[in-house]
Amino acid sequence: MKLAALIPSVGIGLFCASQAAIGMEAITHCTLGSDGRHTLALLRDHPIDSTAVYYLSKDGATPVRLYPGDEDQSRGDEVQATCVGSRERAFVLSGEFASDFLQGIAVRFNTMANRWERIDFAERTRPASVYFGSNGLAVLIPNTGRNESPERYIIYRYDARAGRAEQTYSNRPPKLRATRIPEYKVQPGNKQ
Amino acid sequence: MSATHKVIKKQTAKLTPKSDTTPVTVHVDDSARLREVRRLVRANNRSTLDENLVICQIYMESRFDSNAAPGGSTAKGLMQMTKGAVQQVYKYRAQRALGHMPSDAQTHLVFAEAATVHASPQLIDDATNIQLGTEYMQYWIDKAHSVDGAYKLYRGLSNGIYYQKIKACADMLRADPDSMQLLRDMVK
Repeated sequence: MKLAALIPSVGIGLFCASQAAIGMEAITHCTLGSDGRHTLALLRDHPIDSTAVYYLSKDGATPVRLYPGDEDQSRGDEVQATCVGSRERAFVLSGEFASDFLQGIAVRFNTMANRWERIDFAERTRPASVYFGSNGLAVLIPNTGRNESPERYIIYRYDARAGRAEQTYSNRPPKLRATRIPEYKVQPGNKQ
Repeated sequence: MSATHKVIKKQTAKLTPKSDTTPVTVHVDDSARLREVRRLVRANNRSTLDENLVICQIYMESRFDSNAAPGGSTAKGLMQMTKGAVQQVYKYRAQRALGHMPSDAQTHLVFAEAATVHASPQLIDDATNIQLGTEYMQYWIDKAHSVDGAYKLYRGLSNGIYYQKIKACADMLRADPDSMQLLRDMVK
């Protein structure tokens, strides 16, 4: 597996009591699109213990909760977020939210197709790689073997027609060049 | 010149017999663990879910291994309960007891209590794990108003594959309650 340039990452998991009074806290942002003309910002609010409610803001728009539904759906713990890629970047976030599985998203702005591509995933392990395909973004997650399938990899591929990602299992990784997602460091406040 | 040979010692030990390499089928009763899990589920199910469905869920989650612990996640025990799931159970208990959503201060207290339980050996006790896991499923059933919807929220995916698999397994397990093969087939 070829490694693309790794971008320093940011991890979020520490309770910050002072933020409760201040309001929404900007955690990090990524410059997206092959022309670098789009931004995605991660914010959080309403901390309780090591959890907080997470939001995304595209191109400076009003932040929206990470997941639809009530606030509890977007309350996360053990959250890690990073921007990966060299010629083009993707934003990848994973953590423990409402589901009993590690949930997360990978977001890219596909400049060629002029669209945002968001992949929602939920598995027992965090994603290992992303793939910048011209048809859409893909995310690879190693399979723990205790799952719905014994195959080695769980692959989420963005489906442009459906406007969302499809989950598949495979013993082979995608044939595209992999961009590895690094281990995240806990460095709240980093800008990328 | 003729040589004389003196016999020092005669070999009296029996020759090693020729190995018998014929394959033999060894029957292992792996349904004993299934029967044990079924007893545990009957005694500790705190949800409206059918016991066969819970058994299939447990096999899907941990393959009946109480010590299953995937790296990078806080999931523990037979039902692979994460810290967040245990905290949600405690928060839901508080919500039902109060009759409304707990305040931030109350949530902080129950979250801390749940985190302590999650970090303790209690969580890998099979009975406790099933109690918490099924209580967590009941939270999702109450929220989604359907078992199918509950499992989508539990799994964090809307494709419904998780529930399809455990439901098909449960339907067959009801007719053949000691069959481990049905469980193995579910995850092929």
